[in-house]
Amino acid sequence: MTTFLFFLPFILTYTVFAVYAERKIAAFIQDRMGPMQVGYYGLAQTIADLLKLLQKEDIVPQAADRKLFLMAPIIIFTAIFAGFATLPLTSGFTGSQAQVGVFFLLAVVSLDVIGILIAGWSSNSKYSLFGALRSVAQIISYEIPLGLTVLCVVMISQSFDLQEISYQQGIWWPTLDAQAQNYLFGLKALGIETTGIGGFLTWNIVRMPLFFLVFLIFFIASLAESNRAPFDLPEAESELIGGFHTEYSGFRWAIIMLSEYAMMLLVSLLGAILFLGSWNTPFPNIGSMKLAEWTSGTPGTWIAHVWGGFWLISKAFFLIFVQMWVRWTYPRLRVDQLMTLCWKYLIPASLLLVLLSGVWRLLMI
Amino acid sequence: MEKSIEVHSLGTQLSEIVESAFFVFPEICLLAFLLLILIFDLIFRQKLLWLFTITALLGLFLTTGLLLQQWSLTAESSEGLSLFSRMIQLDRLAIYFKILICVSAVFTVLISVNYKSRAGSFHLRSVKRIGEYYTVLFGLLLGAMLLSMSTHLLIIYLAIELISISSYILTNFNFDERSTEASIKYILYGGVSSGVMLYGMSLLYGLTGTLDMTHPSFQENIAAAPMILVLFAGLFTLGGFLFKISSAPFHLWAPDVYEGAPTPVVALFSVVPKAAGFVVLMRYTAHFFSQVSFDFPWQTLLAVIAIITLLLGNFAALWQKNVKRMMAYSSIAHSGFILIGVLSTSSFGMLSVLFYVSVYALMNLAAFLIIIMISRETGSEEISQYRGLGEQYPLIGVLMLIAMISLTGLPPTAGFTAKLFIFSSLWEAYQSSDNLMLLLLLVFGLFNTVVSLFYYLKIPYFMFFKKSETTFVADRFSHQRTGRRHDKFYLFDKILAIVLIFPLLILFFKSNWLIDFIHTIPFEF
Amino acid sequence: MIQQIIFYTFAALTVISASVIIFTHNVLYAAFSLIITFLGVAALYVFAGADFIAVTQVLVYVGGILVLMIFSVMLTNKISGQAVTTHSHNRFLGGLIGLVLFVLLMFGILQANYASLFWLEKAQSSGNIIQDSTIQLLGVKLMSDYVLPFEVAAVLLLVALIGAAYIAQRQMDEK
Repeated sequence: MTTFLFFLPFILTYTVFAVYAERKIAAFIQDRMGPMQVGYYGLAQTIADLLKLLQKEDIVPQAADRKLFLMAPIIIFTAIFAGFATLPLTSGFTGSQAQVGVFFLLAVVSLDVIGILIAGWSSNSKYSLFGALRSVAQIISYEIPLGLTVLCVVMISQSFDLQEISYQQGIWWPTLDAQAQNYLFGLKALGIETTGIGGFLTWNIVRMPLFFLVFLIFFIASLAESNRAPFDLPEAESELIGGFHTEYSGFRWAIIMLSEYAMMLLVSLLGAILFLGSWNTPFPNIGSMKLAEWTSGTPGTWIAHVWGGFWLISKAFFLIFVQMWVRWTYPRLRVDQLMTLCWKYLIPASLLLVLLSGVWRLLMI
Repeated sequence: MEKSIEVHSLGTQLSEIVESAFFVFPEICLLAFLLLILIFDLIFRQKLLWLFTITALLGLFLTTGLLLQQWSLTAESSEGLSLFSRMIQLDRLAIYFKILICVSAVFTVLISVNYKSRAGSFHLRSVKRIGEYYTVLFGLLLGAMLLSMSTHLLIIYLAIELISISSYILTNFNFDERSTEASIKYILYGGVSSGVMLYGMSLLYGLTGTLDMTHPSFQENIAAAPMILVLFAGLFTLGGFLFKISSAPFHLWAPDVYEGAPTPVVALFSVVPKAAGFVVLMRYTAHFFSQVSFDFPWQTLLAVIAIITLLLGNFAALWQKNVKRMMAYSSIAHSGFILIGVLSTSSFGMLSVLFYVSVYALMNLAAFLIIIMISRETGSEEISQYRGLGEQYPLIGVLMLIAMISLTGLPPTAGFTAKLFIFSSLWEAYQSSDNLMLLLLLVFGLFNTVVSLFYYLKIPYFMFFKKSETTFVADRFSHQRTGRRHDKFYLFDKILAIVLIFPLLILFFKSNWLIDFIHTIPFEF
Repeated sequence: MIQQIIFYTFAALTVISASVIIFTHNVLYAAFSLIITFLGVAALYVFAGADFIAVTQVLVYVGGILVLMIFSVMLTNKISGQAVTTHSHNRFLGGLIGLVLFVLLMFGILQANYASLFWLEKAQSSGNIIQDSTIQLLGVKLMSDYVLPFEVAAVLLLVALIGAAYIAQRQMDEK
């Protein structure tokens, strides 16, 4: 329920700003101005676009499979939105309590492939079909390294529950489990206990130094999962016009766009939760300088909600910014390069990392 | 999943698992060679083709050696070891079958060395990716070896799937239309029978709360459960095993697969999965049917299945024009004969099954080897092409004659001894149970042996009594004129055929050599 | 009460979508309704207390296998330029056998009274029924009691993978 109350409006407003941000960042990188006409510095541009989209006619091509065509965008959005259900936002805002947590997230998000397939097939157009085929091949392939990297984190944290994973990465872990102890790099043998220090020192990416590589793979795979450049072959506009949503217009097209941005947000939030300390502050307690405690607040208090939400969302936004940055930096991959990258490099590498994570976990005991 | 928490603490259980691992050394060895071949394939891709065959043979020999060592280590009277938390049972019965599987595999590899498919796409001397052939072959063997040890329904299912999936792939190795068609048919039938078997197993689990057939609570719960469900569960599970031994009504895949698949692979199919299927069937009847408390006439049921299998196999074989298709129906019929031994349940029945399966392996491998040799000569697997070959190549003709006589079950070959054992065990079972069905089965069995005489001896008949076609003779004359003997048979193949045929004669005169060996197996399940 | 309503909704969904698979002539529709069947089955798993299996079902079957199925249907559908349809044969015999099986199984299952099965009662009386999540136990069991099936499954998948790759590659070579 909290997911509905918070994330649904949040995704809507975020998307409006994200589209604006994307255009502005693109413009900045390409040394242009970007949208300037509507509102101050073009701020209202997206809202104007949105209004235009909503007013447009809902066109269904004559040769399309009408029922499936109408259904597809809704399936895509529902699948991605269901993924938000398990996300914690702050120390008190847990999301779904299901034990299967992140595993459920991966499973449910993989359903959006079906929506894309339906969209591509029911449009009855070659561009849509090619787009859908490419998209599906890409998403299914990159789900494997994505899943394996998540597995690395799960092995270290010994939990599927994203909230527990979050707690482990900060100073508030002892409130959940009195015996819990964090050590620098996770190694007990080093003897430097970081349970009370917190900050970035207890983030997963530091707790297990190899997680830097894991995070890299996760990030690459998540780019592919959300069909972002340089993996945007499914909608490569120079070849396919718009990919699987070529035939869509108006409101349904808006929903597809919305899902794409929601997917970006979802993977960025997930990345922040799994690797970058979730809602925990990046500042450690240094001696009497209780930076960590000052910038996070005890779980349960309202100030903890504010800090937690702030940290997690800023981390996610930072990752989204990097995604946009990457989009305007790297050229699009070819289909075979895409598959080669996934099957010949990312999957073996992530398998190796799973093994190493298991070994590291043994060192952590 | 078994939800009850075991009394063992995890630590002792883990050390038990480690101990168990020592008893599956042959399997581990096989798996290691599977991976080794895979790695070789990566390194020596399309080069050093002989290396793969050598490695495969080495692996098989090593595994056989380990098995023999296991045989010598297990005592004659011991009940067998339950390994991996009662997942598999290692007893002499399993080891015997595993040795049989490995030896058959060695011969299969040797047979495939000179095999060349019609389109030439499967030829181990030139094929580009020979590594995959051996990898998948080893996968099949591993599945068969596990199946012969398994007493746990989960392992049985996994082992059967391992065999099946390897078989589907191997069937397609000719890469022609017929081979692909056979493979797809095989997958479809296999999928359905697996589904049926799984459904039965899930019912069994629901009724008993365990998948372990040897577990005492399995039998207790079976006894307490309502009859009709137990019956359904048991029969559905049986379906999967019947598929593996290609017995009616799950035999439909055999003719197409035998015709389409590469011949060495067919030789393997006719022996290895079948042997493993029979051992699991023996365990299943011992643990399931014999334990069913209510008065279920399972012996009659198996007898009916055996009769149908015999009739279908033999009569369909009569009309076949393709040798491999004929051999497919012949192998179905042989399954019927072996089923007779399984349903007599006495230790003599088990003995006769073991003897029959061993002899059957030898004669089938021999027959397929000769079929390969002849099809290389004539370029065809039609029986009509066998005209006059006996005159032309007396050695091959005689070897084929012996193989066919043995398959029919006539003296002086081991096939006769095997059939004799099977029928006497059936007679014994009839006398102890007075089940009329068993008598009927005996009559049908004998009758079918006569029927099989017609189609088996058709081949030697064509070879010796039909004159070969004129063009062929002219061809031969031209070679005689040049003084060069036109003989496409490899010496290697000839020696191999003799090695396979010779024991068939020996075992007729000295059947006690093998019998004594088998006698040391305690038939306690 | 609400739980029961949800359960029967999912059960009905599963059965209805499964019958759509049987009766539709359009292969693609059949594949799509198979998705609903699998999702319904996953929901039923949740009711059976097997949350992990439910999610695995969604991940593997819906997210993986079915997508590939639809993928291949789509490819064959569009390339040959005509819709792929199925026809049923032997309707009478098939229906009859199905019906007989159904009646017999229903009869047996109704007779069995699963709740009073011997082993279930024993487990209940000793308190061995698991109420909460199965994940932890599954993990431990897979690495202890069921380690052999686990490893065999690994070999099985390896062989299947090699075979699939080999068959695909061979056909590519020939072109």
